[in-house]
Formats: sequence, structure tokens, C-alpha cells
Amino acid sequence: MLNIVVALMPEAQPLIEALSLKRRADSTAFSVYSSPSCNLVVSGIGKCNSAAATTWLAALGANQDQVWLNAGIAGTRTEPLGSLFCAHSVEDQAQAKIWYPVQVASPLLSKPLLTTDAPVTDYNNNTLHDMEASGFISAALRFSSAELIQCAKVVSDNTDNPVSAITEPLVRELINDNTPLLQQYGEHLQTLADDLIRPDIDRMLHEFTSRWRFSVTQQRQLQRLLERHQLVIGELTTLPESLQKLRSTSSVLSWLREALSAVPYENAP
Amino acid sequence: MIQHIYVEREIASHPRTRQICDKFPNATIIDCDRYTSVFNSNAQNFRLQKKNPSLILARKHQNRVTATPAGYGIGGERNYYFSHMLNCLYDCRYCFLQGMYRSAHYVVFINYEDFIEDIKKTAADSEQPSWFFSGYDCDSLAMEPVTGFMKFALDEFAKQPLANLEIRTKSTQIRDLLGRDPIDNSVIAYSFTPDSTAKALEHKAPTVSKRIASLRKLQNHGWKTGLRLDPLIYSESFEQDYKTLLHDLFSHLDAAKIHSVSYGPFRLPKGFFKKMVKLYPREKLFASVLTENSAMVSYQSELEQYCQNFVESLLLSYIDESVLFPCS
Ligand code: SF4
Repeated sequence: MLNIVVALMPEAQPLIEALSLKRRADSTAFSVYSSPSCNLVVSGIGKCNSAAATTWLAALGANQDQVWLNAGIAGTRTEPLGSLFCAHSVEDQAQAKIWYPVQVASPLLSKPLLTTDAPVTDYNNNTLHDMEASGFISAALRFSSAELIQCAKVVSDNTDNPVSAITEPLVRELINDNTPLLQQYGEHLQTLADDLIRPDIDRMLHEFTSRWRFSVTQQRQLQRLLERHQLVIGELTTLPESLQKLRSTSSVLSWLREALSAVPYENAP
Repeated sequence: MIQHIYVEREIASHPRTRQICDKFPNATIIDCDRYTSVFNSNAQNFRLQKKNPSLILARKHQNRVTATPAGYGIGGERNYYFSHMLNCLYDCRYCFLQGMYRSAHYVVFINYEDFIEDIKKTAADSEQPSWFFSGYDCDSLAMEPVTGFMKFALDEFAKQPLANLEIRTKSTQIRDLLGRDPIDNSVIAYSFTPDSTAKALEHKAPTVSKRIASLRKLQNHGWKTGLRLDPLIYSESFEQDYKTLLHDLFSHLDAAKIHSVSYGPFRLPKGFFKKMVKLYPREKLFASVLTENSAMVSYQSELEQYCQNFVESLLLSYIDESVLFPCS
């Protein structure tokens, strides 16, 4: 699942259209748009709003290890309008705090990003300037892994094109022009996230937990034992009779351990 | 290919920093205060980073030379390890680094001179010879074309007869070693598992046959060489696999010239193992016949003992007991 956090509707609109997202009626605090593979929340301006919207979106049902992308516009001194960068560092100017979003084979060029509490006209060389990223990243790190949490910014202002000249149609156009690249970037991050999907043992787990009542600790042990079983022996499609007749949960776990201890490791390239 | 290099501001203008950065002209340089703010930050995933690690250049301020854990050594009384680098180019699935570090980025400490100073001081503490093990937190040679550390260190060790150096590796980066005279107080030690295990678990590492070929060249060049059969990985074909491995090794190498052979069981601290399982839930090695006690994950003691006894007796048919060192 790709979760996108944007500040304003003109930034959101081209993405909503390109990704065929539908407005969610169950989201009251922030406007959220969804498809089966993507959520987008419109946070409003500023790092506090961005943090709150990120947390809100996560609370609507995000699992661990999903992709989180803060997309939007940013200012920089010299880069031409419409250039797209991801951030390899995000510094919160007010808190003097810095994060390093981990870049894994990123298809985008990267730059440092400075989050400020007010719009900036005096750009530091080489640095992107925005007002949301630090709030987004500090919140998103509670819900996913650092490699899957990124900020991608389209240059909207520079020394020749001041922040005062930014209009809604311009923002829409800048994001719209970069939508294919943003989509590709989202797909790249999703490919990374797919690597973290755990083996699917839901059916087996359900079979066991509906038959026996395991404690929380035992459930964790059961989960791993079933994962191991699936890997080295195969899925337990039906429960053998010797297992079915067991009464205690600890004897069920022992049965699984016993079965697994009989299977040596086999090298398979 | 390295796409990003994090550089501690403190060492940004160090000539070695520049030399290393120049080897990656297309990399983006990212400055940082301390490497730990990148390397140790929360919520990182070693497995994802391993797909394309970045390089971190830093200064190591302290604890550059540390006593080895008990049971680690090749016959010496005074054993130390040092790590001019953290993490490895290769990706062995059993490697404890995956469980120890949050990040898979390569950290290179560029203050080589300080490492050598500490090694000299440690060696000078006693009239007994000391052993210094490199390749504890990395592979000693795999990144040599980037770091040039061993080239630097060997010149210094050559002047310190009481300081012995073990260069532990799986790498075939031996051009510098073949281009210089061997030094008497250094052993180049290659790690091996049988071919089928290496293919299944030692991702990105040179093949067993390439390692043997490098070792043979080094031996012919006059370097002291060692074999490290650590960890011993049990599989259904364990006996045959180790027979084949030792046959291959000793049919290409001069057994009489082997300086030392060590072997040790597959064991991991429990916390590391748990982290590794989380990273690789589908890895069959972690799903196999392992057992947990309060601190460690290992094979059951009978199986562990069997593996060690089998390999030991096999080794003794090729080499003298005096060069054989079990690791615990
Ligand atoms: S070569 Fe050594 S340090 Fe490198 S991954 Fe393999 S076991 Fe770890």
C-alpha cells in the first residue's frame, strides 16, 4: 500500500486523478482519497498538520512496512521549476533536528531538505525548502521502516521565480507534469516493501486458533512454528489425527517442534 | 554501485576521504555530524539497505582495538580484534552482522593511523606476541580497492614483529598482496563452507573454487595462509559436503604450509537470531534444526558435537593437530 501525504488540494488533484482515487466518507478530520493500492491524505500547510494527517491516515488502517510518501512542492535557489527530487536529509530548522531518509537504489536525484515554520525567500544553496517534511517523517517513522518513508518534491520557486508568484494552476501543472515520475517512484518503493511481506500462514493459524486457545506468548511461538513448518515441510492442509487429539496448547506446540526437529536443513540455491 | 556517501563534517577535507569519494564520481555526498546519526538511527531495515548500501566515511574515536571473546584465536595468548570497517560487501545469510547492526551501510573509519597506533601500544604492553584479527565486523579484503587499508596496515605490521595480523576474508582482491613481499607476522585466512552451502547462503561472495585459487596463489607467493571452517552448517549431505570441500582444498594447497585451521559451530546470540529471522522469515537455515537456550541459538549439543568431531577427524587426515584450533 502506498500512502501519500500532500499539503494542499492543488498538489493532490493530479495524483487523485492519475491514481483513480475515490474520496473516503469515513474520514472526517482530513480529506482522504483511496484505491485498493493507494491512500492519499490532504494535510494542510505546516509540519504539525502534516504529522497529524500522517497519523490520521495510519490510524485508518495502515499495517507495518507500508510505503509513505510526502509529495509536494518546494523552493530552492537554482534548480529549474518543475525539477523533481527526493530528500536525502530532512532538517527541521526550528528544532535543529535532522533525519536521513535511507535511499535504496533511488531512481530520483536527491537533495537535502529544510523544513521551516514560515515560507522562505532566502534559499540556502543546494537545499530544498518546504514546510511539512519534518512533521511527516517524524510521524511516519512510527509506522514503517525508514527505507519506505520518503519525501519527493517538485521545485515551485527559486531566486528567479519567487514564492509570491506561486498560483494554484501553477502548482497543479508542476505536479501534473511530474505525476508519471512520482508514480514510478511510488512503484519502486512498493517493490522494496513487497520484500518484507511475511509468509502467508493465515489459514493454518486460523485452523489452530479456532481449535485451541493459545496465550499471547504462545500465539507468537505458534506463528513462527507454522512459518517454519510451511518452509521446511509444507502447509498443514489438514491436521493429522495425532495432533487433533491433543488437549493442551503446550503439547500442540511441542508436536510442531518435534515434527520440525526431524527435518535437517537442505541447501537450495 | 555506491549512490550516496555520508561524510562526517570533521573529516570532510581529510585526504583519504577525498581519495575514497573520488572513486565514486557520480555519488551524492551527504554531510553529517556523527556517523551514528545515520548508522544507528531507528526503524531501519538491514535487508532493504543490503540491496544498495551507501558508504559512510567517519572517524573512529575510541575502542579501536578490543580483546576478542574467549575461545577466539589461533593459539596465541593475547588476542585482539579491530574493525576499520563495519559491514560487508557480501551477504552471507548466517552472518551475525545482520543481527548486530541496524544498518547495512558500509562504514569506513578513515583514521587508519590511529588504529595502527593503538595496535602498537597494545602489542607493546607485553613481551609476548599478540594477535590482531581483522575481518571481525567486515571482510578484510573485499573493499580493499576502495579503502586501501590492508596495504597501509601491512607496511606498519612489517615493522612490529610482536604484533601478528590475521586477515580474514572470502575475497579474491589479492593483487596488492601478490605485488609485495609477504610479511612473516601475517596470515591470510580464507573462510569456507562446502560449495552447496556457499551457493545457498553466501550471496555475492566469490565461489569456493575462486577462493581456493586465490589462496593457492597467495601460498605460492609465500604468504602464510589459513583455513577457517566457521560456521559449520549442518545439512543432510553434511559428511559428503565436507569431505568434498577438504579434498578440494588440500588437492590445491600445500597442507604442510598451512599456518592454521580453525572451525566452529553455527551459533548466534539469541537477540541477533531473532532479528535475522524477522529480516528473512523465509530463510530455510533459520527454520531448520536449531535450538535456543537462554543466550544463544545453535544446533542441539549432540548435533553440534557430531559436526565438530566429524570435521576435526577429517581435518586430521590432512594436517597436523598442532595447527588445528577449534573455536567455541
Ligand atoms: S563474508 Fe564474513 S563479514 Fe561478509 S557477509 Fe559473509 S560472514 Fe559476514
